[in-house]
Amino acid sequence: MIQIENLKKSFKTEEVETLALNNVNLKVEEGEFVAIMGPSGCGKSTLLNIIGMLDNPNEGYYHFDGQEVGGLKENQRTKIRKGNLGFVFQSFNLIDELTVFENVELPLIYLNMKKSEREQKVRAVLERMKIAHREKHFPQQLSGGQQQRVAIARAVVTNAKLILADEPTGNLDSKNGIEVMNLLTELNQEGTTIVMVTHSDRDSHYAHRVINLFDGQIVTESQNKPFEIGV
Amino acid sequence: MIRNYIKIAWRNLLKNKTFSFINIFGLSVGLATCLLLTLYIMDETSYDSHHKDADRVYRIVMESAGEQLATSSAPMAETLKNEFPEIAMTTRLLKFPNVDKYLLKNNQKNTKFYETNGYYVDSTFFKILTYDFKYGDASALNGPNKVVLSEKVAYKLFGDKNPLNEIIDIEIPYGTAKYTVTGVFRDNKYKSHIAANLLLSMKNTDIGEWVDAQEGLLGNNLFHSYIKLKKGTSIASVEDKLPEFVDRHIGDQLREIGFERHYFMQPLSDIYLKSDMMWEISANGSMTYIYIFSAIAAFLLLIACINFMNLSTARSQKRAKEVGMRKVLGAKKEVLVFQFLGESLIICLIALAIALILVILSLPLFNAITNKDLLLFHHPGITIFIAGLALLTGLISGLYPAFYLSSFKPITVLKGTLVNSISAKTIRKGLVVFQFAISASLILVAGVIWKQMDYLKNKDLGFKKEQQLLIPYRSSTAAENYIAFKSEILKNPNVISATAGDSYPGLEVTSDNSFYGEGKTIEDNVYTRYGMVKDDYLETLEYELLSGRTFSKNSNKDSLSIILNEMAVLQLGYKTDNAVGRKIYYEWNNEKYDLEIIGVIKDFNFKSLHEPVTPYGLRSLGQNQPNYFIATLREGGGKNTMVEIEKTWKYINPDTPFEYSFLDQNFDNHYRGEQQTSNVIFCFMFIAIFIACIGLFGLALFTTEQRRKEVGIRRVLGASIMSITTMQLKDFLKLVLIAMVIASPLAYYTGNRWLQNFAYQVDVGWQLFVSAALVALFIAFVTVGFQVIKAAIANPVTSLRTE
Repeated sequence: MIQIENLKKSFKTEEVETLALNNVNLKVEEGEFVAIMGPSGCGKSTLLNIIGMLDNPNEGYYHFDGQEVGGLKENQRTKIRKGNLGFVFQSFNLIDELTVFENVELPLIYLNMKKSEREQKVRAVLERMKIAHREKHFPQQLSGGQQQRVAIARAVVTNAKLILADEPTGNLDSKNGIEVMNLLTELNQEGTTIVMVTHSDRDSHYAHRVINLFDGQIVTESQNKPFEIGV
Repeated sequence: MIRNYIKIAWRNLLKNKTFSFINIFGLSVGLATCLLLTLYIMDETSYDSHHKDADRVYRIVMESAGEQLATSSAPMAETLKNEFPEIAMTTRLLKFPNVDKYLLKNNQKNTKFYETNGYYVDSTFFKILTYDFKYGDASALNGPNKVVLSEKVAYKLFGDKNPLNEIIDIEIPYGTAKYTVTGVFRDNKYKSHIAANLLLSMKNTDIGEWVDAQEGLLGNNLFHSYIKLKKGTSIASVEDKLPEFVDRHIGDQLREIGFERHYFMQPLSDIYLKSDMMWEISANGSMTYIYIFSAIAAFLLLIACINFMNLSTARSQKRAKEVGMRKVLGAKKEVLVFQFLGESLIICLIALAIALILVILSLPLFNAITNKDLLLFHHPGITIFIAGLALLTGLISGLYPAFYLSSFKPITVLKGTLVNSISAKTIRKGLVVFQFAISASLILVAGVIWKQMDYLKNKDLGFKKEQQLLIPYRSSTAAENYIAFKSEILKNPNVISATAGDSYPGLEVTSDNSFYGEGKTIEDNVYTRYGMVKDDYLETLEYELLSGRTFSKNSNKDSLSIILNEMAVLQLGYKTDNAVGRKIYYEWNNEKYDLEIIGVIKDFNFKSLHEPVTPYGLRSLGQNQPNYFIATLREGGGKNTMVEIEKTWKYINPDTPFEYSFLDQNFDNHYRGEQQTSNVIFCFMFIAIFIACIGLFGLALFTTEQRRKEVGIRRVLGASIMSITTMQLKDFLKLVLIAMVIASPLAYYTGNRWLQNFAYQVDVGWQLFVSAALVALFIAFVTVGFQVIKAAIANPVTSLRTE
């Protein structure tokens, strides 16, 4: 699903140029659950942003589903992102002015889905995330764990093929953290590809494969459990 | 999708009540003032646009001896029509000199009252100028002694009934005549430079004979003459032939009296806003004020829009996460631009609704200030204008924030690393400077106007205008009783002095002549205006006599005497100390006449301070009747004085109603236009400052909120409250100072342009700029001070914890 070759990304400020990613090669199969680990500032989030098509690399290739997407313009990237990709953030990034229901509904609106269909889908996913009873509440009225469940609901409501999670348990206590990881595992078992950035060893054990990044380069790769194509 | 936008817009409004209030209230006030001024401008520009074939109607005006006159002589219109095939029809309007009121009597109902704005017109009047007849039609004035009334006057005379063919008495100082009512027109539908209450046949039994006796194109230029061109002809061809026409008819006469004269054709639609000549029918509007008011309207709205832009972009961080998330979820930039524009439109619509309520509530006050009778939906175009205005306001205030907000990169905003970019901050500061520059300009211009108005009211005019009672003679019987009334009134201890004249200072002077001094010829003539007065005139008005004497009590003795002002004496070739006893000459029909100078008075402003002093003189009325009785009252004489004077008047003149006014008030009427405009400018200056201030307040609220952490850290590190307050205040005050620097030359230029309307101008002076700067600084300080101090004295521990 994801094939990255010789990827480079640097950030320039007025005085210094920082190389965030250096010659990264990575392949992620459909249905795989990959965890990316490494110390702060090693380039984890940058890599995730490029995979998520929120950012472009400076050099190298990025094939998504067989299509080169590394050099696409913002609007073209948006088009591919819609419906294919779901995001889960450490800080949830729910829109404070929208209710739980409306937050989850938002990606469907951008897919120009009919209202009745939207309602049905949102209800179903909220049921599944066990958050349906709070659908009329605003994000601030929920606990952290609940907010992250809403965020996951929002990521999967479009039946996204790929979920990108950036430290999804970073702001949660362990009980809520485990709950969120179980949810992600469940989604993965149903076929959703997941790429997750994490600091937590515990969380990394949920993945099939762990990639360790250091100073912008992949230093080690380890297989946690077997992954077979088509499982 | 739209529902989602509306929902989020609405929730944002509710969530940030202070900012919503500032935005909506600022926009409402901006829109309301813009609407009020638009109503005013629409009304002013609607004058004379209703006349059928208005584009083919012109008024004959002239420039003669350096003066522009709105009038021409009686036979002018007819003569032109006879010689110019382009002219289809002509008509004339006569505003009879010294008749400003008509006594109307309905003997059947025993009603009588004075009415102003009565004009004698030709029978063709309604064929050239369109009136909305309630009764009668355009042929109403075919025939002598007919009168067409305004609806208001008709109601006063006859009530609701149809007054056609009723007969009324109309009295002027020259006699009473019977007139048949042949028409009634609605007076509030159309606006015209002719604001008539009654229109009388030029053929009549009171002044008709005088009109018929007017011959020759040269003199007695008292008629407003209008021509209507034939279809397909051009005014240029008429104007081309005019010089030859003038030369052929009156060229010799003009050369004889040393006058240069040109005639012009003034388009009907130009009269109200673009004409300010001698003998206008009534005071016209002015294009200058249209420009000033349009500028103020635009500026006010812009200030409100800038508040909106500044607050939206300043608070963008609060929306940044939403923008980022929407983009991540697949929203394109265009979609977001559309969303934010939609939000500003929604806010504008709410503001518009409030603005309409504000307009309805403030219209009576605005009408009072501007002396108008504006209605919100009177003009058919206003609805479209309002809709357009709301849309435009939404776009102006929404475009920049929409593009700014929607251009956020999702990664940056979702990481929470977005800081207000330097360029956005600079633009915001620039906009604040712009707002305050506008406000400061208005403060400065208002200051210039205030100084000038104060100067006009208090300048020594060269005569005493305070405590001078004016009683107009509305009938010749009352004028005949001048001496009896004068001697009776002087018995009152509160009456110091009394006199009478054909006019009084400030009134347009009807008598003029071209004089020349001893040893000179008509080529060297000095155009001099003069008043005709009774004895004690100089004493009563306290003119300063520089040499010679005043008129003697023996009214026959001074019939060939003249008292001149310094300017006239000088231009005639004499000096103040040697002029007395010398002769001046004038010519009429090739005969030479002379007058003897018996006194020289100090120059005084016999007209408003719009105009410089010109050669002026006073001659004795002799046995002739005066038009005005003038008396100096003792200051602090009390109410009883007027009661007693009225009693005396009624005793001596039982048939003429008692009416009076005071000279200083009449004189101040010359500045009514300016006074009115300055009132409007003052009002809107306050509103502009107010809107700019609430914007500044909002910005201060935001910046201090944003700098809470910084302030907390500084406090922890040992900064004093004072140093933190000054640090933050400095930022704001600096902007205001820059605005002052920008505003000063702008205001200086505008103020001086306005002062050009006056021959006597106040010195603008640097003090005004300094005081305006202090006022602006003070206002800004009060606006932001509270927020800044509040932030500075907050407990640093709380500020840091909340970050």
